Amino acid sequence: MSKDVLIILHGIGEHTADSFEKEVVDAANNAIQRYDSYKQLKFEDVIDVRSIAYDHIFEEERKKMAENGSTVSKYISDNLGNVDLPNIIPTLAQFDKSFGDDDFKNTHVLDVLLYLSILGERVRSYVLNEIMDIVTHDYKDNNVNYHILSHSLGTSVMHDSLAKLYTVDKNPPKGKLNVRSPHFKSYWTFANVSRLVTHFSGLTGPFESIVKPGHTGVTQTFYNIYNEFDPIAFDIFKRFDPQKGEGWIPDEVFEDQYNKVVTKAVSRKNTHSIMGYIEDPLVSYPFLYTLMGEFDPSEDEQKTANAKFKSIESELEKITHFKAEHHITKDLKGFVKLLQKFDIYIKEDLA
Amino acid sequence: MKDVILTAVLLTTCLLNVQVLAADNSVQCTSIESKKVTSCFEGTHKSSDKLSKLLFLYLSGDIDDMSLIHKQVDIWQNKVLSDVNDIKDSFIDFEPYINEYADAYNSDQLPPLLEPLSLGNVTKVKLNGETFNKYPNKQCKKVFNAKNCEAIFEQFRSGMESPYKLIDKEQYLKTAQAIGLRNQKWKNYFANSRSQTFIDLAVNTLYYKDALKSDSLVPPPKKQYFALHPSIVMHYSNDADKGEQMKEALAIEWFGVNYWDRSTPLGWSVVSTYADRISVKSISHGLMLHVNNSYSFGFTTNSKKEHGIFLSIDLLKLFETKQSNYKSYLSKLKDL
Repeated sequence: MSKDVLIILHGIGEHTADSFEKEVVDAANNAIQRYDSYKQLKFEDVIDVRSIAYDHIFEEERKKMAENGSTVSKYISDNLGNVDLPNIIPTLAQFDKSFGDDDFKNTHVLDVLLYLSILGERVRSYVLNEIMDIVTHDYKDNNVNYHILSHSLGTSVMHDSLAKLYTVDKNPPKGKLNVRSPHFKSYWTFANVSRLVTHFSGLTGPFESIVKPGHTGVTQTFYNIYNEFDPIAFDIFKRFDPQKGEGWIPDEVFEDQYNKVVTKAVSRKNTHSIMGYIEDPLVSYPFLYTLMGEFDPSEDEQKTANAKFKSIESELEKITHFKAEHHITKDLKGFVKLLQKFDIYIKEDLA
Repeated sequence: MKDVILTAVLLTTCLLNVQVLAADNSVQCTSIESKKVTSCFEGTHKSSDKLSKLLFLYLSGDIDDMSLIHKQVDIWQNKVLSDVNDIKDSFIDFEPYINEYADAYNSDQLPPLLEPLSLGNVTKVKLNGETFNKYPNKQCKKVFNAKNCEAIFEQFRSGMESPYKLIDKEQYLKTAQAIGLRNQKWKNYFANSRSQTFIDLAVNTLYYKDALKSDSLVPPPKKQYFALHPSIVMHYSNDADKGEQMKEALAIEWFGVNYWDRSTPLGWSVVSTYADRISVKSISHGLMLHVNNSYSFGFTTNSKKEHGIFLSIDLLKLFETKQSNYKSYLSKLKDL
């Protein structure tokens, strides 16, 4: 019997496959350390973690645009000072040139805008190709189970990619798979922005897509996890928050196979951190229990372990204040503004 | 011809094995410890091979006799029932699920997707206000010699679905190939077509937005549009004084299109060129032609009927190669 496979996908910002894998594995191992009976377990020994990174696609395009903008800007300033050039041309060249700065706007905000562009389909085809490489065609012979974990913008990329891959059709059209091949065992979304992003991209949204639990969806169980103090997941931004009885999935499937986890724990200043999410007791128990077959602590041990988790009160106060003081509009502009404010907030102690 | 031979071989193998299968010994779960088998349902996997081949041939249209399938389903069903009945102290009633799968295979339907949760003995536990499913793992470990209940559910499900494995595998391989080709096509679109500015990216997104909304991966568009696209060209004006006839110029493509994916990629743009000259007007307007996603040339004129021609290698494309830069590009052109 082969190990289960956990396919992970990072969010906005600068990531490599290795860097995101390290965050997920370290966070899981940090959580395991709280359970005395399981301290000897290593997350990466029990499950095969396969990380997919798509950030390099954004970076390549960003750098190309910046290099061209820089060259044209320089040419204009060096050679066309006496020529009556329409104002918009140097402005646009300067705009493209500004993509060359490795600042928050370019490494985070621009990711969202580029994903909403035609480049998004390039990202989705890349991610699906990676998934097809990871899933072996004889997974059934080898009894391999697959799980999915995605974070932040990665929740959108994964949602949109799988929505384009799967169908319930018995004889799927070219390029598509029936939901059984493979049917994911669990699907974990952290700071799920798929509803917000599909609202702007016009792609099929998470309420209508096949990315849901049950026989007619892609996964057995669906975990939808938010931190109330994670600005990216603030409920003003079309949070994906399905309710029982609203028709997303049958009530019995909702009851048994859909899990919403909302936490308010603050273990680090960056409440958007995937590590903070996984280390949270509300998440770590079902996460480790689902992914690691040997992990099954008693209720007493869970209570003892949970008591070891410390939420930092001073950071809780600060982030509560941050949430209250910023009046952000519900649109994309407001979302981008919030991303920028949050970046300043995270870095203010470092200044 | 190859297909006919393959079909004949598979069919013969199936028929020859129908009787052999019936004589197979059932495998007891407890023998896992002897390391002869890897799961309680290993026998289920073994006995599904022939049914899997028949279902595959039926779906491919190579056989149309369902009675062959019915016969094999009966053998498979009896074998599986026998296997689960041999599991000592089993507290899970597998039989209804086995019958459901058998019905599906008999009626040419997709097998049901079995959820572990439906296999009984699940306890709901509450932790910090959230509800989770809890399985009797200790019992599962003892009875089935598995690491936990979910492992047993998965083994059972895998065994139940194994008659469909050839069909799944075929579909999977075809899809993987199609996705791989589509991914390569998108990679080519961004790597080999004319490079785009942020505005170009926005224009092409607008042009392709309806296609992108498809519930399948779509191939890249066959043409690229351009708007307000700047590039640097070498502009020649015969009417200019000697010494400034050949001059670097900024070309602005107001709008244009490029058929990047043709065997010989071609495109055109409406363009204005801006060059700092004294003897003629600095601004000219004209048409720019693009060849092979890399090379552009064109002609311009202005209100004083001062005509010019220009030549460019796509500047953005040029700067994608690390060793190139604007100055080396210009010096190369001047050497021509």
